[in-house]
Amino acid sequence: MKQSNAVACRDIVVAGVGGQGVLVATDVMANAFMSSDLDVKKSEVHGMAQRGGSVISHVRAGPEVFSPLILAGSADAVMALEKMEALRYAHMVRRDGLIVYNTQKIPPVSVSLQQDSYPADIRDRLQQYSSRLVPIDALDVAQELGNPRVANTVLLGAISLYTEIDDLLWMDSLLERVPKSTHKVNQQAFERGRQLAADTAGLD
Amino acid sequence: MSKQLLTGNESIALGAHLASVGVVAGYPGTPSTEIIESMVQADYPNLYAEWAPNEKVALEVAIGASLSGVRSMACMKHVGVNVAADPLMTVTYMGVKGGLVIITADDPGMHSSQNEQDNRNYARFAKVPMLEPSDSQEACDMVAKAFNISEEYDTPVFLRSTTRISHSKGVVKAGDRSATKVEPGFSPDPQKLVMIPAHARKRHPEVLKRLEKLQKLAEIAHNNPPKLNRVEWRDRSIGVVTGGIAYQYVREALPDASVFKLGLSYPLPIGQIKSFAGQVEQLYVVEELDPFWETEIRAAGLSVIGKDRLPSAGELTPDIVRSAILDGQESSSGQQKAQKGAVQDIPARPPMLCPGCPHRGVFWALSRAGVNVTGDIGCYTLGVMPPLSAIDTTTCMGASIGHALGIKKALGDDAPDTVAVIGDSTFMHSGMTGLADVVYNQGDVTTIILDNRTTAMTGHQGNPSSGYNARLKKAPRTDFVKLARGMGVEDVHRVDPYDLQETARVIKEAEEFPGPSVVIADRPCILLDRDSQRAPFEVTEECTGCGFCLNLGCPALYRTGEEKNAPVAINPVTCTGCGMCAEVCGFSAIGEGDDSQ
Ligand SMILES: Cc1ncc(C[n+]2csc(CCOP(=O)(O)OP(=O)(O)O)c2C)c(N)n1
Repeated sequence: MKQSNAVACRDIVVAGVGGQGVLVATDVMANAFMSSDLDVKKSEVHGMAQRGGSVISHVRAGPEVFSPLILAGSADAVMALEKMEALRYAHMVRRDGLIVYNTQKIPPVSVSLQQDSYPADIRDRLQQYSSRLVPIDALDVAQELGNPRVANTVLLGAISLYTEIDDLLWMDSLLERVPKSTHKVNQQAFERGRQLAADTAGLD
Repeated sequence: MSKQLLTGNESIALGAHLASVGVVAGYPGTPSTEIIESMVQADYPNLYAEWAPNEKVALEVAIGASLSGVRSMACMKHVGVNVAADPLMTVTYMGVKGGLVIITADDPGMHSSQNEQDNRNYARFAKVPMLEPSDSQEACDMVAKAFNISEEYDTPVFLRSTTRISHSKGVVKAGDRSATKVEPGFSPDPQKLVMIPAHARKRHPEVLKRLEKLQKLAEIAHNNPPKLNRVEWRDRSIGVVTGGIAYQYVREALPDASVFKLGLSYPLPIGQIKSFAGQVEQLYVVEELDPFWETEIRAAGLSVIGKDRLPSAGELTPDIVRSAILDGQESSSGQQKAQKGAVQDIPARPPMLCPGCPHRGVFWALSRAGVNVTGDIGCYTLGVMPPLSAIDTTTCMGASIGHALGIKKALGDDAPDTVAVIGDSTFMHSGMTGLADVVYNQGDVTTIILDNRTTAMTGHQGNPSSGYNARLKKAPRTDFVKLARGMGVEDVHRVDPYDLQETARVIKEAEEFPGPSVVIADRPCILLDRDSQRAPFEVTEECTGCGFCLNLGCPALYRTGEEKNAPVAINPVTCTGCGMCAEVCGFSAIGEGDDSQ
């Protein structure tokens, strides 16, 4: 599969809801960068914030990386495991950066209690930050593959297309981090994600 | 050795192993917890590792080990040092035998803490040197340096991390393993180790002499081993004194500036900083939280820009550093300028009690009982979040019981019904003394121990009441019923918090009992006890959309539409089958799911 001809993503913000697997997803990404012989830094969130709250992690790669945090408005990509979380961190991406997001909605409790409403126009509002949107129904794909837990892998497959990391290194890094019994389904999920991104972007 | 991608905490663990640490003790606390956890996971040889009941005991254990000639380490979060401050302030007089390193992991920005105190102040307060890494590689390398300084200067040494160091991953190449030259063994030395006034009076001047020697070390530490500080010459119009994570932000935001990077946070190399200042046009200090270095640098008569531009509250970020120093001239790159700011109008997503969390049952009962609730620290502090909104105070670990007693004693007969809630780990940490006070001074206080058999908040570490130790091996369990009785509490109850009615009844009974009561809400954390998870519950057609069940604040419950009476549904992936929603539903519209699937 060809890679995107746009600038390869090296500074990536990953956002989601605590418990969705932001840590594993960013570990896979960071290890893949490291095996590509780049310097890597990654910031994580542990502790109280993990209990179902909004979670953000930064992954950075390059010849020499200083800050583990990315400057606002300069990330090459935002990858969001939940739709509203994509919007929450959209300002992190640069103007011509990429927003890869899961279209799955997880309403916070305040929305269920009807004290707040879940934003209706997320896609349009994301467009105001960048025109390069890659929406993916990752949960749906994962369920089709028979394991809802591989939704993040679908998204990783999608974003992999926009990095300079070789597919095989991505795959090694992924399989190292997930249980053996799920290797096959993770592999499939990754490939489906990569294909979906290629279709969305009209690159293939 | 090949390179690895490690968090700061994993790097400290590796560094401790490479420095041949023999004893490590700590109490969990974000962002320090994974240091001990990863030492245990790596199964390093010749290492005794433990979770102590609290940080004071952890440090006391480490001191005992050090006095036995073994390199030892105590690990804690910033507020843990407050708890350990008593032994700290005196071990500094005693000195060490085997190297003694105290890890303080601070939490600027309060990602998981009740305050953001700057523990560099403890270094000055205790007259103890402090090292501060700026990334994972330094975190690994500085541990051995800390041990060497500790043994050479006969002092405990602080190694300070912050959340962004502890929880950021970076590439680490491990160096060689080194060992102490100290012979193991305990030899009595009362003049040095028994701090009665007569002995301590002789030790204090020694501490001051030691500090002078450390100051000399600081002055040469930038170009001589142990190479803790570093001067980086670039453009000389801006010179920045910085260290820790702030160093990375400076490099990111001001790539051309000259930098005096401090790895030894205390004491400062004032002579060297003066000479640096003399060679740059404008001197800046970029440090997170307090103007700790700035104050010393100003006291040395240098003029410097620091906290007049940078915030003293909250974390720094590369963005803040850039705009503070460049002062708007060039405050963002072209790209950044083009981007819009963050959205402000979308619903917040605060952390919540998990689906199936046993704490929910107690807070449901309390939110309905109309009592004051003095709270404590742990996952259960999330009981303050709406819709349960069931906690009225949270100060520090163990405070709930004393606060409840204080309210009762202050207001006497007019005191509102007041209940203290405290987790099992927190009760072992510092709740027992509060309960002793209630019994001793006959307070009419009900204490609810939320016994989920683990220290859940920080990632399920064992504690003396949970039945497993730091190596996840079986350990004796404190029996809370016997403990409470032994302490003189007559009215002791045990209840399953999943049984909402019974929980409410028991709390009421305890509340009405005149005198001290203890209620043990007994159910393991659902994340630990996967076996007790049942098939997800299901909402039937009977659902009227009244939304009453949503007052449980369970993240697995949601409305299926925007309209007012949209029926509720249950997320089958996150529901653990605890059944509390079915218990509160007035229409019997929630039922057990099919277990056969
Ligand atoms: C002095 C101090 N040490 C450590 C912490 C970090 N910490 C907060 S709560 C907690 C313990 C939580 O365990 P428990 O009381 O059993 O409640 P749970 O989270 O299991 O509900 C810890 C270790 C702290 N806030 N203060």
